Amino acid sequence: MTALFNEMLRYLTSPAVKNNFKLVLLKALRHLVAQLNFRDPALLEFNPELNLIWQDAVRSVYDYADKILS
Amino acid sequence: MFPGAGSINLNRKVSSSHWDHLLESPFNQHVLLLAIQVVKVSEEAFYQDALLRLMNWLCLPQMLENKRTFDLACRLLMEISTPELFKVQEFMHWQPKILNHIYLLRDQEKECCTPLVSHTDLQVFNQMPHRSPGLLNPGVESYGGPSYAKFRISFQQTFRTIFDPKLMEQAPSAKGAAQEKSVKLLHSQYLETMAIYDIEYFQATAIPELLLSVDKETVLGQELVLLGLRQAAKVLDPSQNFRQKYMTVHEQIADVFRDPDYAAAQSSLLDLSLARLTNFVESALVRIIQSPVFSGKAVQDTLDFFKSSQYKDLCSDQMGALWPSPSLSLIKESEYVSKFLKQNGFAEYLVEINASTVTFEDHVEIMSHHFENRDAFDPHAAQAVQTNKADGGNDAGDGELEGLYEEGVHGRYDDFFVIPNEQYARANDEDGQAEGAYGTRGAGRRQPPEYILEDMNKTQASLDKELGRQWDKLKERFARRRLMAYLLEDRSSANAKLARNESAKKKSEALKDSWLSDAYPITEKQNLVIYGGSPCLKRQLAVKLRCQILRMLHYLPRVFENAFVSPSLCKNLMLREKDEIQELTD
Repeated sequence: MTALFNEMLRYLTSPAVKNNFKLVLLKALRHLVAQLNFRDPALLEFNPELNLIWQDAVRSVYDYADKILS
Repeated sequence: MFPGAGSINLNRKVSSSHWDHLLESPFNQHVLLLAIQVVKVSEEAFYQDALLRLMNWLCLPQMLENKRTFDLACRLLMEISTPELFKVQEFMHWQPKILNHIYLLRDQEKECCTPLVSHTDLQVFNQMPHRSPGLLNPGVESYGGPSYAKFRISFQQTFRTIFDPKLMEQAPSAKGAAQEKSVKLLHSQYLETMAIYDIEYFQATAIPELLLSVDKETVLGQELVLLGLRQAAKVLDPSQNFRQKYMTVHEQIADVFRDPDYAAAQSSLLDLSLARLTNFVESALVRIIQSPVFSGKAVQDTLDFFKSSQYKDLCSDQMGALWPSPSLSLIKESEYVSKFLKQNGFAEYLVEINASTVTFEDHVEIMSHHFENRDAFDPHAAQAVQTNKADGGNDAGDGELEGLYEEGVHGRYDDFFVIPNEQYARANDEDGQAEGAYGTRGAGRRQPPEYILEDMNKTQASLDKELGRQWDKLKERFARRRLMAYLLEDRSSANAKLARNESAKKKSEALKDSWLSDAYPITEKQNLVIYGGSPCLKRQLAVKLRCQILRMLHYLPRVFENAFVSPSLCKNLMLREKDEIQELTD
């Protein structure tokens, strides 16, 4: 999960990538974040490690947003 | 981006250039939305900290007051206040409990409110998978629970900003579309939340303010009235079951308080508020009916139309096959209209006519019985032929089917188009043909003029393409309307071809007198006008408003009794009602 997110973020920050593509990526990322809700208790019960992975991924996305907007 | 945490200060002054780089780049807006989303799904400690910073940085109240940023602020407010929901997957045996409501706790000492979130010690909310700052909620009184991110924006504070006509009208939309409506999803969502959490303010201030804007004869004024009526309907309409929703939420809050009296108090408050709201909406409806928006002439025209013999002619059985219900461009929901009129004793026959509609399938069945040759009138036969050809299948089978059905001769369900339209029938009358152009009843099948056939076949081909092979009632209705629109179109260019003979001239003259010519202004783009509704925003709104009012009359019968009082008296009544409500509430 984190690897996937990092890969997406790498594309998003890269100057070589076209803006249109970035926008598509960004929308995909938003969709992903909205859909994959790992705070879902049933899923966490199933695999508690998911939560840690998820938090890690989410933090990296947040750091990215912070960097872009500042 | 987000400055250091600490306490929140929603009222700090910021210059309007604060949001410049957000407004200029849609990319940045997407990033911000992403950040908000991330904050919403993150774990607790991070959530509190990040949300605080985010809110401090955004300054939403100031953003809402700024014309340039109003639109963006609305979107952000929505994004922040909508809870994240689970993705429910059917194959899983568990059912996540999804609550659509957001709770906010008020901290008396610090004068702020906090959202109730999933990890609190409150048992009720342990199952809540989502949370949100609940910006739109006024909060729950007197509960000294744990405070997290601290915001409080009450309805009283935000109502006038959110419904500020200047901001609503002039706010530049994100896409720059000029036609975008000023009333957005945010506004209706805002009012819905208000109805649940602050019904007193809802009935005493919000709805009256919206409905009183009927005096302004602007598009925005109409939109606001419509919005107000829709929201009032959500509360008043018995079928919407507002009481149940309201009590569900407040019983949960009562559980949190462990206060048995709370639910009872809320119940009586609801009763009182609903009674007042009903009174107000009734007097407001009377006023609106008498205002130019809902002009008496339009109503009278409609009633006249229903009473007229012309209407009865239109809805004969023959017509029913093509045109199952009267297509009123004025009021689209004929079912409502007919029920309403029947209830009030205007018309008896409307409901019956609607019930006796001959559907496309019925028609095919009837015709096939009549001719005892099923395949000839099977609507799918042509496609079956085509499919067989495409599959490179049985050649012998093709031959049989082709023998039964020939597109060129039959013109594809030519018997189906029983159109009482002299436009096509007249030429044959001249030739001494007693039957219609398409020879519906007899064996004397005669090929219609070429131009009709050609166009018809094109239409049929596209309709078939859309309808597919499965019968679909909705699609069929849609197709019928388009077909009707097609038939209503001006065929002046086609007529020009026939202009050589005299009969064509007579035909075009006669056309002016026929019932179709005065039904609609017949123009080239008739399709768009009939199916898509009027392109004029104001007119569309008027139609919607009428529909809404007709719907509301079902459970507000007193309006009809009072509808014929003089307008000035009515306005006074309405104002008095508002004053009374406010006095009572104060």
